[in-house]
Amino acid sequence: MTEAELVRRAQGGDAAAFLLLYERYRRGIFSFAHRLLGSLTAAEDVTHDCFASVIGNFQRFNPDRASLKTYLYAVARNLARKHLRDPDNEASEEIPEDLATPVGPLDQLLDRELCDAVRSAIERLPPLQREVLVLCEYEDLPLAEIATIVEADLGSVKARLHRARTNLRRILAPYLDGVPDSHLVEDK
Amino acid sequence: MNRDLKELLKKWEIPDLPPQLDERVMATYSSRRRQPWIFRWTGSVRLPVPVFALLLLLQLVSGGVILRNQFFANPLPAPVLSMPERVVEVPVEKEKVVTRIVYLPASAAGNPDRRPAYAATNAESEKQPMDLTGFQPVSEFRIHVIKGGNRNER
Repeated sequence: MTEAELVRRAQGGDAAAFLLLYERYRRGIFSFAHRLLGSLTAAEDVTHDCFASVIGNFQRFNPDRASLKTYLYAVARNLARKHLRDPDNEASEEIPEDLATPVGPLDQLLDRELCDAVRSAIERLPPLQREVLVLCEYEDLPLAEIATIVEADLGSVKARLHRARTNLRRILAPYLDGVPDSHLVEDK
Repeated sequence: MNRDLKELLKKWEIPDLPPQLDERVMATYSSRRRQPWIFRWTGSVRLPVPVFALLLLLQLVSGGVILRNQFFANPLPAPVLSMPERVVEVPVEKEKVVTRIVYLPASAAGNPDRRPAYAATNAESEKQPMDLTGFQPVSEFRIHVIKGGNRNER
């Protein structure tokens, strides 16, 4: 069944169709929100609000005009930006327990250190660069789709992506020079 | 992008989804499904600005026309004076107009000074003697009373 058919069935009140769509995109939306906000609870709230917004406005969504994936990421991006603008929502430094407690061999300790370094470096990027980098590097979206989501033209997206990579190389220079080959091989 | 940076970025892994997220989303979905009427109270409709302006203009014009028609079709009623009614009998003087024919002697017919003002002035009718042969008076004499001031009065 195509996505458009699933969307139409979900719009008609088919709970199973909605559940399929939700399971298809929940992980991506949550990851995107988490990498933008750096907080588990904020990412959970944004993911929930994103799907709640879709539920409330599902009848107005036209699957022939845009993909649901693009629509969901655009909604999540707007919610995340709104969350960042709110002065009451400060960036949380919370770390999940399963990642916060390094146990085991030295490789896990090194992975943990690299994870924190990357996370910290991405959080230091300006929001416009950060969202473009996350959508490109982590969500593997094409540039045209990213431009639609962030409501910018293709040239601006490319420029932001270039600046984000340049900044990351500068911030992560010690790790880039010293990344052991064994780590790179293990991830493949 | 260099491969080393790309590989390094993959080191940032996201934890699993919180288990309560699914419950929250499905609860929201169920609550919205159970109350489809909620759209009637909280729903909104997006309208392009030109369409909205046109609708507003039509509304104003039609409202003005309806008010105008109502005003001219039903003007304000005259104030009703609440005075007690009473019957007053007043004498009415009826004016009677009587037409009569005056016959003058032949000597007076030639002298216009001696003729009354209401006498006929038709010269031919004066010269020809009247023939009353077969004349019969009417059996019923009707008097028509014409009120004074009427322009058509003869």
